[in-house]
Amino acid sequence: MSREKQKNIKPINFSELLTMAQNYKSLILDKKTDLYQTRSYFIEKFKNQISSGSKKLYWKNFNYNIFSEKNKINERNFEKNNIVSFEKSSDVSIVINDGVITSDKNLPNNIRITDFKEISDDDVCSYIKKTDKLNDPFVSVNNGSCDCGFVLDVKESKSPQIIHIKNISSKAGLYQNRQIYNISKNVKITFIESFEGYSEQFNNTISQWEVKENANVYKYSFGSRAGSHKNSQSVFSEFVEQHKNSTCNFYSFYFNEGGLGFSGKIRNNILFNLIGENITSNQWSVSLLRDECFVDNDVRTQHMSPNCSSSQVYKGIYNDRSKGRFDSCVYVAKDAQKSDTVQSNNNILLNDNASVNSNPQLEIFADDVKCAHGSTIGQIDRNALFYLRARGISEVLAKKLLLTAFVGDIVESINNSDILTLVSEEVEKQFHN
Amino acid sequence: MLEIKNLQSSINEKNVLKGLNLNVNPGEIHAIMGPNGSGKSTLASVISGNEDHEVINGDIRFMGESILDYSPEDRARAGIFLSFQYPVEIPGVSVSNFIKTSVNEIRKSRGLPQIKANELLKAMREKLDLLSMKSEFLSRSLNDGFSGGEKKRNEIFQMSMLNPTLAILDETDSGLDIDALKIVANGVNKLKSSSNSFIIITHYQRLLNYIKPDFVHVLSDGEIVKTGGAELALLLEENGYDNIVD
Repeated sequence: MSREKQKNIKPINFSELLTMAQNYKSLILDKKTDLYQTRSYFIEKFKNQISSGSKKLYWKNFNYNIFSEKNKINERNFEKNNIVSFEKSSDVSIVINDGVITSDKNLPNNIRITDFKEISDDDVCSYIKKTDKLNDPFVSVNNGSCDCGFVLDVKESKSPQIIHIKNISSKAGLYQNRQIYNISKNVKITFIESFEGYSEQFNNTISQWEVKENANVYKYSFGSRAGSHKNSQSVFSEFVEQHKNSTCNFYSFYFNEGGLGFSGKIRNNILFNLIGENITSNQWSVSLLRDECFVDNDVRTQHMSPNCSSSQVYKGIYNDRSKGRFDSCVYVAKDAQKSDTVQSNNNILLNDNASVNSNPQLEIFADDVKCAHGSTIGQIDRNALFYLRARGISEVLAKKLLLTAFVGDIVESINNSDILTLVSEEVEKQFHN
Repeated sequence: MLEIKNLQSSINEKNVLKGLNLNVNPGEIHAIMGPNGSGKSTLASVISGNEDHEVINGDIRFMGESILDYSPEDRARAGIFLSFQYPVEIPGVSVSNFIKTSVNEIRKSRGLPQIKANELLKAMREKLDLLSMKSEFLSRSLNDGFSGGEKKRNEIFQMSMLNPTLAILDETDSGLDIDALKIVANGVNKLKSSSNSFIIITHYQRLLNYIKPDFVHVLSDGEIVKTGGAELALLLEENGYDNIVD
């Protein structure tokens, strides 16, 4: 079966992507500017990466021609009333419609959003240069040619705020995006990210965070940046720089059913860089997948200073022919004593055709650290199932109870009761048969 | 109430029960004793429908009907309860949610509406009291991090909530100290009536000091080899199984 499937894979057409990026570069009129030089540098880097056959070959799983302009609406019709509203759980919404910021009127004074096209060339250069260390062709091509997105600046406010960023996209084919978050010191803020889109999109987004001293950020992200078409594909590169005493709790939920459901393939390249002391950095991820969906997480967490703690808790339940991947590395620098790190990846396969790869790794150069790592891949516990059924609970309901409980610790860790309720309700919808 | 005829079972192609016969009438307490590996726990598993075991011959009739084709949940809904020798730890499912789901699934199968939340809570509190358990217990994850004694008490708590027609206690006494043993026995005695029955599987005569059996059966190599009254348990305690079995 796999051989037959291989035949259908149309590899990404990198030469077309390169032409597109070079065309973009030629639009910059003054060839002497730093911007032109920087863009050129990244396009050249991209060219080298694709021709040298870089080790990271994850895009081999992407079989869709990214330049096809088919604008088919997903056959899995999402009913309007099925769409989840975050109105109750957020203070303010920012809507990004095909890259255009369409509603920011009610933004509080401490928050400013600027279109990426509006910022100075110097700023563009400095933002894109910051991601030079990410050795990935999709990062390079975004650096070389992306001019769509926003810069969000958040200053300290009197009370914590909850911002919903609603991304709506109708574009098929390639869509590149760049989202910059500058979180000033002492800020306490929660972001909710949701994505709506029903076309065959290939989304290549870079998200860059700078989280300053003593800031506290929660982020809840739902679904795929490329939307919910079954042929949609998202490559998402997230680069987070945390300064001393800051806290980040980033949650990602990948559901296939319900109003926050997605379909298609997702690749996440995530890098957390902890550059100060006393940082807390937690990532939580729940993948509840069906059909042929694929969520591929490539995560790196770098402890550069002492007394920081980090965790990656990734859980997945895979049905049908869905796939998951967890490739995570925690790096602890020589000076980063008393680092406390946890890597945990637990998976349940519900079907013989579902699969998951798990690879938690550690690179430790300090000698006084606590670093835990582990992964499990299994099936529903037969003994637990029998125990529940022996109490009169039907097999279907017993499975649902066990699967809900499996991701329960992540859901229960959500400290906002509205979001907790919303997530619990969505989790319930995932196990209907 | 329960009639077991010539029951033969296997697990992983190994025969365990080899023609077991047992009759339990309403209101009776039967104790089943026997050496390790004689098939005591298998009997409990087979009656409650554990699909790891295959019934290769014979029949189990409950309330006049063969239940061999019943799923475990259907057997529970019919009124059979198994107190597990090793209750399974299920993190993330609270005791109260578990009891609520169980009670309502059983009610649903009998055409009854869902139980009211306050009614259920009241009933749970009463039963907890009876078993000297604190109400915080309800919000804990099912058996997760419970001590051996807590797990067994939790089983008896569930039993008293579900009020089964036939309760099978699989080594509920093992791992219990004397005080816990008395509490468990007290729970059983409170539930005992002329219409329900118990099968108590045990290694030791100890529990039978507190719960008086009407019959004591000795199980050996998959068959009941001797049946007597409560005095048989004392005899076993004194002389060991070897003298009886041989």
